Amino acid sequence: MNTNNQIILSKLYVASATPSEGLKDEEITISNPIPCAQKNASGSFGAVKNIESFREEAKLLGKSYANALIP
Amino acid sequence: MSSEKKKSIEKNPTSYSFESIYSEDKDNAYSIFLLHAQDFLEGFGANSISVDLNKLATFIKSLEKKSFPANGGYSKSSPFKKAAFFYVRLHECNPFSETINCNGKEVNGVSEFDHSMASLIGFSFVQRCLLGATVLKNDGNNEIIKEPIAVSDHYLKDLIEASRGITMEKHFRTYSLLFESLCYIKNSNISYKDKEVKIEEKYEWEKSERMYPGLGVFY
Repeated sequence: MNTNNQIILSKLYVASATPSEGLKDEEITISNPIPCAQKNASGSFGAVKNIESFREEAKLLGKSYANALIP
Repeated sequence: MSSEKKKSIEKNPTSYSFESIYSEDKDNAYSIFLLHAQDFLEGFGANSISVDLNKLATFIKSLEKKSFPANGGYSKSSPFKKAAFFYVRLHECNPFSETINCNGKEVNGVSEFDHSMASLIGFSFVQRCLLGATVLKNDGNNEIIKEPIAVSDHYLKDLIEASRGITMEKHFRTYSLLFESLCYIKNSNISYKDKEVKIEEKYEWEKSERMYPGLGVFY
């Protein structure tokens, strides 16, 4: 049943599973599904262990974003 | 932030957590948000930041545990839902009066969006608060998110564009799923694997020259 609808559905599936790399020929596969969401999985954010490193990490992240977005 | 508050944080940093963003002590919430925003923007090279204090107050006050929009409330919510609530509410309130700049210059493909500052500060905060977060699974086991979310520059630009006009009512769940899926790419041990909804593997792709590469359209 190689209908176009199936192909498009599967393509979207693959594209979503590899958001940072986009779609490549060799990635036309159905073996890499987005992992299932947790049911009733509670949780909490991490702790800030050191205020200096917290601040330094924010600056480094800012630099990383600038490097990515500005040619 | 007051100098007293800064000293208090520096004196006792271990009492400080990314969970503070939802603290009933709103000074804590202001502190962690503003510290992150200030340092992130300094690293980015943004040499000015203008904040609408009324909108900022509305945003911080809205990060409340008691009105958290999920089944079971805040205490039973995943860190992905908590991150999504933060991200989407930041866009709804958008306390930033300017778009992002780097050393006074606009950033191509980013600065044209009024919410660009909210998207970049918001997503960077989401990246940080999810790293090291704990997920308590159904089976009672705790899992730590050890690997950070990573996206490409193109993905980041698309995310900013996609974040225009997002609302809690329509997009909270979507962003929770998005952050969860992004996390699982590099933390696959945490995902729930018992039941997967997927296309049967017996389906075989026709890898012939009749198919346009990357499009999946036959001709």
